[in-house]
Amino acid sequence: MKSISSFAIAALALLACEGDHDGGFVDEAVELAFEARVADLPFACGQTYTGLGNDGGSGTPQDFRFYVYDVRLVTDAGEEHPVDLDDDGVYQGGGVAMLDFEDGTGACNNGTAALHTTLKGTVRAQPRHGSGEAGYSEIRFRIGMPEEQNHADLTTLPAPLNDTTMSWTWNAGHIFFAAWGVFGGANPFDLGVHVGSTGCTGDAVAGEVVACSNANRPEIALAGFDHDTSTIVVDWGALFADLSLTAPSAACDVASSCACHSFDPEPLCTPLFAPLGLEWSSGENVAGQSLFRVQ
Amino acid sequence: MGRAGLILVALLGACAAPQDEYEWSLGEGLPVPLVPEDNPMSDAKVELGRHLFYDRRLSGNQTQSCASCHLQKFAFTDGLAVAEGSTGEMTPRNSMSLANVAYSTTLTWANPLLLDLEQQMLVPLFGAEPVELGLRGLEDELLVRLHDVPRYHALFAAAFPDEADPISLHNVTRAIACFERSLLSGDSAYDRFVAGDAAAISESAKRGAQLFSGEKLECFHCHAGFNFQDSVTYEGKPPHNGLFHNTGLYNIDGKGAYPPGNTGLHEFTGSFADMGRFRVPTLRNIAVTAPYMHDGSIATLDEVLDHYAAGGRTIAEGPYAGVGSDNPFKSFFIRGFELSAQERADVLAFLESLTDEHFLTDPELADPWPMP
Repeated sequence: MKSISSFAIAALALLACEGDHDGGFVDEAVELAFEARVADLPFACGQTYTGLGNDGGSGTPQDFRFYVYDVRLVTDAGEEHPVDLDDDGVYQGGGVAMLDFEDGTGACNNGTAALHTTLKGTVRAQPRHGSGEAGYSEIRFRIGMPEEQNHADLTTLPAPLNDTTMSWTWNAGHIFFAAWGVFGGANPFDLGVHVGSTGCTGDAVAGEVVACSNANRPEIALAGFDHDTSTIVVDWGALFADLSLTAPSAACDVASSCACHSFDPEPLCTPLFAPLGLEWSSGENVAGQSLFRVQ
Repeated sequence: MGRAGLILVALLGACAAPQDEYEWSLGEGLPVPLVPEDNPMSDAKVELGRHLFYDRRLSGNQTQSCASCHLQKFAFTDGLAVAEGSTGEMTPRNSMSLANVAYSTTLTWANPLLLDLEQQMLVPLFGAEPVELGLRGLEDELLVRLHDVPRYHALFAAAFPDEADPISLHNVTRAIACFERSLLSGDSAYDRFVAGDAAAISESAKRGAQLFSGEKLECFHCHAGFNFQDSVTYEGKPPHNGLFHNTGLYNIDGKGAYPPGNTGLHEFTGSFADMGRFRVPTLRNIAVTAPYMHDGSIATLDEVLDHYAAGGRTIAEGPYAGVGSDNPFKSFFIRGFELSAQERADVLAFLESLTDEHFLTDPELADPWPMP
C-alpha cells in the first residue's frame, strides 16, 4: 500500500512537470515590451514637448525610471499566472526589474546611456484551473518592490535593487518610481515626483522596519494584452496632466523644491499620484490610472 | 577528569577562542555598547574605518570626507549652524556629534528608521536631498578609487581576512561603522569626579550638577544617564525606541508648526502631533559643539538656558515668528524656570565639565593620512 501511494505521488509529480495536458498552458519564456511616450510621440531625453499639463505648458524630460514586480499574465477566466523575472545582474534580479527610459542625454544628464524597456521572464503554467481554451488576455504588475526588499541594507541587495540613484536613504527604502522634467519655457523650473513608501515605523529591538502606513505601490492591470504582439505604452506626459506647467504653482514656493517626495506637499502629490492610480492621503490603489495603456 | 581539569579546559577555551577580542575604551565607567551581530568590532576594522572616515575619495568630487563635517576638535561636529555638502548645498540640520554614537538607539536628529550606523551612513554618502558627499550613482567609481590606493589593499585584507575581494561597498560601510563605534568619550572632568576624585571639578560645577539633576530645571529627564541622552542602549539595556521631544523652539502658526523641511519626527510619520519632535543629543563635550539645536539656531549655551528658562523660545518677527512656549506639542518637562546669575554660572560650569580633552585630541581617533 505504501509503495503504491508513493508511486501515485511520483506519477502526479510527473504530470505536473509535463504541464501542458489538462490546462493548455506550459511554462513559457516571455518578453514583455514597454515603450515610453509623451501622448503619441516617442519619449526621448533632449526632446521638448508642448501641450503638457492643464495649461498647455512645455517641458523636457529629466528622468523616467521605475521598479516593477509581481508581474502576472491573466487568462480569460481570471486566473493569474506569475511571471518569474530572469536575473540579468543589471536591470532584473531578486524578482524585481527596473524599467529605464532615460539615456543620459539632454536634461537627463544625471542618468546613464543604458536603457531597459523589455521585461524578460517565464510565465508559469501553474496555476491552471481555467478552461484551458483561451490564452492570456490581461497583464497585471505592481510598481515598486516587496516590503522586505525595500528596507533591506542596500549594500547587500542584488542589482537592480542596489542602485544608489533609486535609494531613499533618509526614508530607509527605495524610490519606486521617478519621473522628472524641466518645464516653464523661458523661465524654467524642475518638477517631478519620487514615489516610495511613507509613514514607516521600525522595531528597534528587532532592528528592522516593520510597516509603512502608506505603501504607495500602484497595482496596474491592463486588459486586451497579447504578450506576443502587444506593447505596454507608458506616458510620461500623462503624469503631469493635472498640473500647471507654464509657471510654478503656489505649492512650489513653500516646499524646498517643486516636487512631490511622496510625503508632501499635498497640492503637488495628489495630482502626481492620481495618474498612477494612487490616492495620495492613504497610499491606496484607486481606479483610473492614466499612465499605462496597451498598444 | 576531575573538577580542576574541567575548569582548566574551560579557561583554555576562553583564552583561545576570541584572539581578536576588541577592547573598548570605556573611560571611567561607560557601559559596553551593543553591536550588530554581522559586524563585530575588531582593531583592523576600526583602523580601516578611520582611513575611510578621513578620506576625501569618499565624496563625488573628492572635496570632502566624513571628517569635513565631523571634526575631532569639535567632538566630531563642525562648528556651523548647518553643514555644507560637497557641491555647496546646505543641509537642513546641524551636524551631530559622533561622541558615543555607539549607544544611540536611533540616528540623526529625528529619523525613527535609522537604527544602525551601517544604514545611516548611506544618507551622507548617497543622499541627493540635499547632496552631502555626493556619491549617488558613483559607487563603482568609489571602489575603483579605493583599489588604486596600495594602503587599502592591506587594510581591507586585514579587516576582512576571509574574503577574496574585500574592497566592497558593504565592507566600506561596516568598517566606518566600527570606527564610529570606537568614538567613546567617557573621560571628562565630571567622569573623574563621579569616579571619586572630589577635586576634579569646581564647587560651582558641583552646584550646577545638582541644579541639572533637580526638579526645578528638569534637564535630567531627557538628558538622562551616563550619556545625558534618554535614547540609549548598551549591554544589559535593550533599546527603547521612539524617544523624540518638542522643546518649544518654534510655533509658527500658533498650532505648533515648525519651519518647513525641518518638522522633526512629523516628517516621517505624517502625524501633526509629531511636529517639532527631535531626538535628544548627548551633552558630552557640549561646550565645544556650538551652535545648538537641530538647526543650529542658538549660538551659545547661555542662550540655550534662556530658551529653556522661558519654557520655549519666542521669535518676535520674520517668517518663523511665534511663541514657542505655547507650542501644543511641547514636552511637559519644558515648564520654564528662574535662575540667579550664580545659578546660571553654576549650570554652565557643570556643562563645561563634560568636555573630554583626551577625546578631542586622542591621536588614535585622528586623521591617519600623511599631511599633503
